Amino acid sequence: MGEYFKIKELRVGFKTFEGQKNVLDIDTMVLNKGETFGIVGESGAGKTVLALTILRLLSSPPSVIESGSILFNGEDLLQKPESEMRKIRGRHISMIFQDPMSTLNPVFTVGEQIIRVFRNNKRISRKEAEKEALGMIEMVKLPDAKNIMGKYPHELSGGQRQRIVIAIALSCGAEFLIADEPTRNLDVTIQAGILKLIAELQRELGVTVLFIANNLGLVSAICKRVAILNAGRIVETGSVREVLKDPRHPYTLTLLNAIPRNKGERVNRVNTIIKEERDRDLRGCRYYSRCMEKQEICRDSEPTSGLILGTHWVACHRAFEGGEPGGGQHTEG
Amino acid sequence: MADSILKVKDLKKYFPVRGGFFSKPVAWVKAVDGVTFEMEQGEVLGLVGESGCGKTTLVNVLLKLEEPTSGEVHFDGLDLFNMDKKSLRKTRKNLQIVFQDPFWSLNPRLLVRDIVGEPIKVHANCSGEQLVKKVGDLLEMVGLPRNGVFKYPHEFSGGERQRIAIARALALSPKLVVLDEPTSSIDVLSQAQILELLKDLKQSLGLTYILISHDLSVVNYMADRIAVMYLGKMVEYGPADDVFGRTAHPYTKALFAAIPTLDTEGIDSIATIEGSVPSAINPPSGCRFHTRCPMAKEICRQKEPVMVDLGGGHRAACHFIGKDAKSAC
Repeated sequence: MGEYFKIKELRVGFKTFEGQKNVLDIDTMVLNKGETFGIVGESGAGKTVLALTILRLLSSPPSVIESGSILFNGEDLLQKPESEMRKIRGRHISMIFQDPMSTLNPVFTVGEQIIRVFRNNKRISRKEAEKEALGMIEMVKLPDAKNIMGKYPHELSGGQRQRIVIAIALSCGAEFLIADEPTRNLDVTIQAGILKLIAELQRELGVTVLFIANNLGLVSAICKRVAILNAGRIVETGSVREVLKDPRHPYTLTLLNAIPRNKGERVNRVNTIIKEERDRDLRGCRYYSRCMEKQEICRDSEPTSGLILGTHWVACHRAFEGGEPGGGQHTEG
Repeated sequence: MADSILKVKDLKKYFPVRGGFFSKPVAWVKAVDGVTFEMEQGEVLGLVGESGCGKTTLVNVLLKLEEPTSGEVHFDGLDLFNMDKKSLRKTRKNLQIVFQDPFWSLNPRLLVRDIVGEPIKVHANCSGEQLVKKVGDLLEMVGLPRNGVFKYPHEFSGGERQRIAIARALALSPKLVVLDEPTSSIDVLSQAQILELLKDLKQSLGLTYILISHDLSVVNYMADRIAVMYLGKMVEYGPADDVFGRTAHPYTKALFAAIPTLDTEGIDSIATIEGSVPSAINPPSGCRFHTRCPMAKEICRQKEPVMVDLGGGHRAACHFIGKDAKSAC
């Protein structure tokens, strides 16, 4: 079996008054059918740009796809005309957006919004669409589906709204789901419910999920494999266990240490350096200005991805220095 | 407790639900229903609970942004609820708040000078050059460059905005600062920075914090004492180590189990609480958590549990703790 979903040498830039800036530079990223793959990075790392590029929803003028390909079932999404993309969106690839408050239309009932998706995508009568919509609401485990159909978004809680958004995303049988921080701004208990729902649907329907998060804890709960994104580049990737138990890139470590754990320990001080604009002339590592372990080589040449063990890849000069890669002394903490 | 800075006794806040003829109140939302606690100078109280449990209403009443229905609050020896306007205004200097969302809490049309400087203008009669210098000092204190004084909020990132909000709260050197989910809308790296900053400021300025959060890792990291709220009631209260180490109330246990951490492997190791928070208009009889509690028995439906002292200031309101404690003795 070939690769189900593969990104190859994708470069995306934004045109600004100061010239074109590169925001996404991914050499390879492969997703297998039916898996949940996590993308982690701070805000501004390019996570959402990646999601929107896959769906071809980025508006261009400002964005420019400089090169690369996104192969989905063997076909390049970037070469497709808009008319074909419209058929792919929703039916094959779908997305759960970040904020359930603003993704639903406030002037229509949620039932109506699901029905419209069906009516637009399938040639079915309104009656049939209503029945299907009811089924979708039941699928996302909202009790009293009939009643919910007639409600407006503002009458539902944040967690209920996010369930409706998931129902809409899956209503046309999408097999590939992009979840862009689906639990942001939700309570911990609601968050746990949404995570469980996504995991269950994934198991039942066999969908492939690209799960975007800024919290490594979430990823460790729901994903098998993960990629860490910094300034548009994947700096570390591997199975969740490999990356979280043995982080090799200083940026991954910073992210891990930023999660407050015990009272005695201080949360990482490294990142009190305010994020600096990357110098466009800089040829080196994109993490250079903030890295605590930088060396001369880091300024001059951009590190390429190297294999550590198994499926664990890291793009850092220090990781391959000498016999024992740089992560050695950190693993105790 | 000689130096308790805040004493709250049986605080209640009910909101009327109006309807019918002449908009008479037809029901009451019991947002805060009999909360009692004390805080010492220099301590951090973590206030935890799901949304809708009354955390924000509680602090709004504490700061007298809302009128209480009944109860007493003593701040620094002064009775907050029986105070004339003038002295209330003076006392407010010592009670400040940092709001949840720095995108909404800063006026987009004002310069940082005016946002941070406003409380100084009102209380300290300071203007012009002097004000600019003072605001500059405050910005430096929260780790922002001095030249931010003449910028607008939109020129800052989320984490930086939250720093501005903190600078504003600290402008009058208050004694008690309420932090209403200060890091819930910013990403993990900025969150780590803000938490560090808050810790440092607390130490250097001798502040007392009430920290509201639903992120228990944040609360664990910051708080000395933890109060868990459910539907307007406090269900567990005590030193942070006890609440985390010897969790007594089933609701607190459920909250802890719902959080995915780095050690979580697989979705099955996080647990959810069944159902959602019941309405505060007609809260369930007996123990308010009985509709969702895995251990609920008949007694929970009928009798409301009282706070049981577990020693060392650790208290919880559950029928079964009392029994366990007794049989253990």
